[in-house]
Amino acid sequence: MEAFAATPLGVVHPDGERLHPAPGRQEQIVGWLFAGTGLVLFAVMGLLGLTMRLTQADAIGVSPEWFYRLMTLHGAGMLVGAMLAMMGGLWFVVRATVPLGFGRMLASYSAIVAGAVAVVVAVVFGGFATGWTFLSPLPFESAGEWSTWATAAYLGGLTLVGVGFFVFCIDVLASTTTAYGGFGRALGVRFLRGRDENPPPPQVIAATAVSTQGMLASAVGTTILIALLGKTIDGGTTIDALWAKNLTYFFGHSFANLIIYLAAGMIYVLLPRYAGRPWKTTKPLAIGWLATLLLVTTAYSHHLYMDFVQPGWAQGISTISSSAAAIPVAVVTIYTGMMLVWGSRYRWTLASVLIYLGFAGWAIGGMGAVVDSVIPVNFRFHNTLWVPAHFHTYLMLGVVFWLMAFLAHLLERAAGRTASRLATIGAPAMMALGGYGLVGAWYASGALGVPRRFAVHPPGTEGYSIFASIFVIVFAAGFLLLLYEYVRLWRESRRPEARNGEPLPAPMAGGSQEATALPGPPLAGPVQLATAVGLAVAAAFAFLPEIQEASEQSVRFHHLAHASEFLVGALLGMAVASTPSFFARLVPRFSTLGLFVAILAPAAMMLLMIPAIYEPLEDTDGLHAAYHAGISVLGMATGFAASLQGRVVGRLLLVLSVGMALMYAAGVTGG
Amino acid sequence: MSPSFGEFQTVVALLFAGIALALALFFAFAARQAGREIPFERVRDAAYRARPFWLAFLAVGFTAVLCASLFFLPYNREAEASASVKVVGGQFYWSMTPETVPAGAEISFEVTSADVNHGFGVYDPQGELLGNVQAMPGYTNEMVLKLDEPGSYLVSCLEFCGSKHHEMAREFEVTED
Repeated sequence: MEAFAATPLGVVHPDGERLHPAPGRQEQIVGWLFAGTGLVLFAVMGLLGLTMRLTQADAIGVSPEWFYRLMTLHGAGMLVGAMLAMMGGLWFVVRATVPLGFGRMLASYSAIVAGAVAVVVAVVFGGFATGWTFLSPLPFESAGEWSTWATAAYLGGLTLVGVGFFVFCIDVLASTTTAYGGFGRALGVRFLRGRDENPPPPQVIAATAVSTQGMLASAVGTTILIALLGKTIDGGTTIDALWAKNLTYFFGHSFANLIIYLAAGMIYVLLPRYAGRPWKTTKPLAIGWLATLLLVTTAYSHHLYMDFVQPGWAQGISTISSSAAAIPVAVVTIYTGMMLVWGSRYRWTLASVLIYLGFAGWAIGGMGAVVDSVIPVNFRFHNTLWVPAHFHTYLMLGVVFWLMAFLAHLLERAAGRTASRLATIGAPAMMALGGYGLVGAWYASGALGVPRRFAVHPPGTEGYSIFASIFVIVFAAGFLLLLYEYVRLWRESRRPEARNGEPLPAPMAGGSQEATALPGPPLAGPVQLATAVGLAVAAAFAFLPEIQEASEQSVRFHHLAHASEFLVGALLGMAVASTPSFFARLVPRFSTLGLFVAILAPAAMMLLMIPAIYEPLEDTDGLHAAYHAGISVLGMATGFAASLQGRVVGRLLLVLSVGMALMYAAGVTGG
Repeated sequence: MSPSFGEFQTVVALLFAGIALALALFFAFAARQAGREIPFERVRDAAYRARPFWLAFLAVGFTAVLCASLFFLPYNREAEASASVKVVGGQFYWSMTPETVPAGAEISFEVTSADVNHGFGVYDPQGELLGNVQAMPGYTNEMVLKLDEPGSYLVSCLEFCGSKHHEMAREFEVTED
C-alpha cells in the first residue's frame, strides 16, 4: 500500500503515527470525496437551517409552504451529508487492514448523490414537503402543495440513497467477515470466548456491527419506500398507517443512529494519533458492540411512544433499549477515549480539538436523548423542540465536529503543518459557543412546550428563535474561519516542499493473515445443500392450486403466497450457486454484478406485487402462471446472486429479501 | 395563548441542565489533564478499576428511573375515565364531540384521523403542555387526562401534517359542574 509521504512529525503525537498503517491513494480519494461532499452539504443545509431560524424569529418573511420545503431538504440533506462523510471516514481507516472494494464504494457514492439530486428536484421544483420522514399517508395527501411525480421523485431518491448505503454495508460486511474468517470473529465473539488471541482491531469490529445493522435498516427502508412508490403507481393501494410508521422509523432511526457509530469507528484510529496511545480491542469493547448491535435494532419504537395502539411489549423493549444503548457509549467508547487522552501530552491541533469536542457533544446529546426516551417525559416532550435540541447536540456538535476533524486531519498532514493558532482555538470555540447556544435555546423551548416543525412559532416565544439565530450566526462565523484555514492548508499542500517530508515508518502489520482469502459459499456440504432444497420443496406448497385459489380471497394472503414463491426460488438459487464448482468459478468474476442483482431482484419482486400490475394478469391463466413463476425466478436470481457475496452476507441477504416480501405482505393490504 | 413552563417540564429541564453542566465540567477538567504526562499504565489501571463502579452507577440509575416511570405511564387508563371525548384530526382542523368537558373528571380522549398523522397536544389555560397522543388514520388512540382547572384549553397539532400544520389548533372549554 502506498505510504502517505508528506507527514512530518509534529502534526500528530510523536508516538501516534506508528500506531496504524499509512493510508494509500484510494483511501485518500474516498476520504476527500466523501468527507468533502459531506462538508458541502452541511454548509448548504446549514444555511437553510439559519433561514428557518430567522423565519421563526420573524426576522425574514419565508412563506410556510417554502419553510416546510426547506425543512424537508434540511433534514434529508444533513443526514445524507453526515452519512456520506462518516462512511468515507470509516472506509478510510478500515481499508488499511481489510481489502474493501474501491469500485463498490464509488458505486455507493454515485447512487447516494443521484438520490440526493432527485430529492432536491422533488422539493425545489416539485414542492414536496413532508419533512424528511415521509410519514404515510402524508406523501399522498399534499393539500394541493405537490403532485404525484414529486412524491415519486422524493421516494425514488431516498430509495437510491438507501441502495447506496446498502452497497456500502454489503461490501464492508463481506470484506470483514471474509478477512477475519467469519462473522463471530469479525465481531469479536471468538475473542470473547477466549478462542482468538489476535482479535480484529476496534474499527473492524465497529464496521462489522454497523454494516450488519445497516443491511437490516436498508432492507426495511427499501420495503417501505417501494410500498409507497407502489402507491404512486396504483393510488388504490392501501397501506396500513401503523405498519408504515414502524418501518419508516426503524429505517430513519437506524440511519441517523448509525452515522455516529460509523464515526466512532473512525475515531478509534484518529484519536490515538494525537494521544500517542493505541486503542486496542478489549472484552468490554467487544461486548459493547454486540450490545449496540442489539440495542440500536430494538430502540426505534420510542418514536411511537405516543401511538398508544403500538403493542406494549414493543414500548417496553424500546424504553429499556433506549436507555441501555447509552451504556456501551458511556462505559466503553467515550470512557476509553478519555482514558487514552488523560495524561498523554495530547497533541492539540485543529483536528484533535474537534475530535475532543465531538466526544462532549455525543455525551451531552446522548443524555438529552435518554431523558426524552423515558415514557412519562416523552408524554410532555414528544415533538417539541427538545427533540431537535438533543439530536443536534450529538449530530452537529458531535458527528459534524468529527467530520471537520477528519478533513482537518487530512489537510494538516498534507500541508505538513498544523493549522494556525487562531483557527485551532477560534474556529472550534466559536462553533461550540454558537452550537451550544442554539441547542440551549431549543432545550428551553422544548421544556416550554413549543412544537417542533412549526413555520410560525407561538406568540411570546419569538425571543427564543432570535436568541437561537444569533448563536447560529456565531457558529457560522467559526465555520467560515475553519473554511478559510482549510483553504490555506490545501494551498500549502500543493507546494512541492510539502510533498517531500520524511517518509513514514513502514506500515505495521495490522490485518489478518486471511485478509486476501476468498469467501466461502453460504451453503457448505451436502447436508446444508439438501436442507435448502428440502425447505424449497416444502415452501413450494404455495404453488398448489388449492392454496392459489384460497390466496385470491385476500390481498394479504395473496402476498404471503408471493413471499413463499420467492423463498422457493431463493433457496434453490442459493443451493445451485453454493455447489463448489459453480461457486469457485463465479465468485472472482461475478461477485460485483451479483451484489447489484441481489439488491434489484427483491425490489423488482415488491414492485410486481403492486395490485395494479398483477390484477390484469389474473384473467388469463397462462399469464397468471407466468407471473407466479416470475416471482420465483426473481427469488432464484436473488439467492444465486446473494451467494456470490460469501457465507455471512449471502445468508443475511436471503433472510432479508424473504423478510422484505413478508413485511410487504403484512402492510400492503388492499388494492 | 403563549406556552409556559410546567412544573414537570421545569424539573426535567433543570435535571438535564445539571447533568449537561457536570459533563461540560468533566470535559474541561479532562482537557487540562490531557496536557500532562502520566504513564499510561497508571492511567489505564486506575480507569479499569473505576469502570465497574461507573457501569454500576449508570445501570442502577437508569433502572431506577425506568422503574419509577412505570408508575406514570399514560397507557391503558381508559377504565379510570368517567367521560369520553371523540376527537378527529384532519388537514387542518380538530373536531371534538362533545366540545365541553367537566372539570376534575378523568377524560378519555379517543383520537383518530380523517387523513394523515396528526399529534393531539393539550395545553392548559396557562399554556402548559399536559400531554399528547398521535391521531392516526385507521386507528384510535385513547389518552386519559384529568383537567382540574376550568377554562379554555388549547389543542395544537404536534405531528407535521402539511403546509398549515402550525395553524391546526382549536380551543375547548372545561367547566365547573
